[in-house]
Amino acid sequence: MLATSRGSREVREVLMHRFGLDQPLYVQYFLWLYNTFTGNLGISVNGLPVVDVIAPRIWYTIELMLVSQILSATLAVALGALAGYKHDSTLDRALSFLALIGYSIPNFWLGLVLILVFAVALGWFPVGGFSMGIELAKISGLSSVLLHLEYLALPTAVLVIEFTPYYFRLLRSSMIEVARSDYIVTARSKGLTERTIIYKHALRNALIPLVTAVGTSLGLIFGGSYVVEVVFAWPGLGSLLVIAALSRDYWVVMGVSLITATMVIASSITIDIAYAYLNPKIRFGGAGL
Amino acid sequence: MNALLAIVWTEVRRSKLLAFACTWMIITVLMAAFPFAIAPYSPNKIFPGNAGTPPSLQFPFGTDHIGRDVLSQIIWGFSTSLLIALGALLVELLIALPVGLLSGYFGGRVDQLLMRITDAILAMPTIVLLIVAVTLLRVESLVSIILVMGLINWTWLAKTIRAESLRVREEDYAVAAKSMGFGDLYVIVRHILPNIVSTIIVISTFDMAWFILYEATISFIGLGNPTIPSWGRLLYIGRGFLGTQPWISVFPGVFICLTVLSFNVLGDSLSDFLTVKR
Repeated sequence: MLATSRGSREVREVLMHRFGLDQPLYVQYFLWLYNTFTGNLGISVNGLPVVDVIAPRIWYTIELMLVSQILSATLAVALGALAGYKHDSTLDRALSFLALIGYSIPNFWLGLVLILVFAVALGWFPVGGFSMGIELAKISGLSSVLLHLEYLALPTAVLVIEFTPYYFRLLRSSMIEVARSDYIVTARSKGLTERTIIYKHALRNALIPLVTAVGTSLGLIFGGSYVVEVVFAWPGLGSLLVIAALSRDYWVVMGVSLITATMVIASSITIDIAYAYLNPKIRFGGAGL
Repeated sequence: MNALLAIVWTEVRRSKLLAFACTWMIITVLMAAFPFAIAPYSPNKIFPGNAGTPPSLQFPFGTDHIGRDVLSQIIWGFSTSLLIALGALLVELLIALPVGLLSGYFGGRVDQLLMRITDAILAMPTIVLLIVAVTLLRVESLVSIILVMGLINWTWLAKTIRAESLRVREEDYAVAAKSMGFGDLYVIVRHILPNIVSTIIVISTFDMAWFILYEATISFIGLGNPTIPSWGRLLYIGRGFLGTQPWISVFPGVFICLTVLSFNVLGDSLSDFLTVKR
């Protein structure tokens, strides 16, 4: 690509050597693996080290993911606890129906529709492209936060609509099981208010399967945010991956994959710790798992 | 067969949502099976002078930026999507079935080895793996995208099959069959497999929805084959004309939503009916 058909053989050879493409494939791989341990992820086709291309983007991905996952989980816990506790009521049916719809809308298409309505037609939010042409260093304090929120609004909305139904369904079904158990019956016969029963007794136990589910669906969470990043040109790892993939920038693709896998594993460990906090059986039992 | 139809009929009458899902599935599968008879035009036929026309009687869903009928592309596109999804499901089953059954039935070292491979693949988001594979392997043809999707997505199904076979292996009838001296293969095929078929059917239904979504995502990002009509390709084209020609991306999106919804409703109903625990 750098040396198109017009490039001379010398240019081609220099470039091949620079990117290590004159080596056999296995040598390229082990060289990459060796360099990785020294913090060198190779050079991007635009000449920058891959580490420098990736590093500034990691925070944006984490920001989008944290905001949207916290919002979805909170919303899903509140609604799911209610729907599961009042199993088969009108409220439960309505929420479950909405969840099924939210669950089935492809996130990238929802992104397009939200852009069409709220950015193109109404002009309330920017179309996307955060930090492109904005000198973030010059603005600070409150206006910087507001700018972040303005650009975060639509991608976050898409992710919340995608993940709330997912968590909602899980929480609802575990709540239905918990609501039948003996200690809930005891709590009710003690005369506790419904609200105390739902949020103090039932929820804590119903949350455990939810935490497990988040742990096993980290791939879904990362994948979902990556695709949404592309739609809104959010300057995170997902849009970088696609840009790199389209321009066949292999080292960047490899680098983003490596960082993603590392982040998935790190989150998975964090969730295991949260799990132990929620479920004392694991903390003290020693056996199990 | 009649008894089965009667059961389906009762279930469909009980739930409006399931009735809708079944109707939509029948319509779209017919669409996918006979696109040449149903689509008004050929999907790649360009109507000169009609580029980007809004929905009209001649073009119910409008035309795209170079004057191809959107409705015809949707109909032909579903043929592609369904073919890819079914193919990928077949590849997935061919890997997940032996891996899951062997792991669950034999346990021990075989299980350890197979499950560590599965975990390694599960540590990467499927869509990221798909993007990387499509880029590195320069996937262009339908067969290769089917292979890539099947090869990447089998892990979850394999883990579920493993867990189920572990459970069934300990059931009295399976233990009895073993103690009577039947071979491992016989026990797996005659006792384990029939008892986990319902789980496999339910997961396959949900996976069909996922495969349709994955294919659309890959094409939407711009990594699909630009010559084959697909729902993702329409969304990819439409993204560039969102402000001026929204019909290019809005209509195929509605079709994707309704189809994925139908597969999910069907999966939910099957899972309730077959009492599969997910």
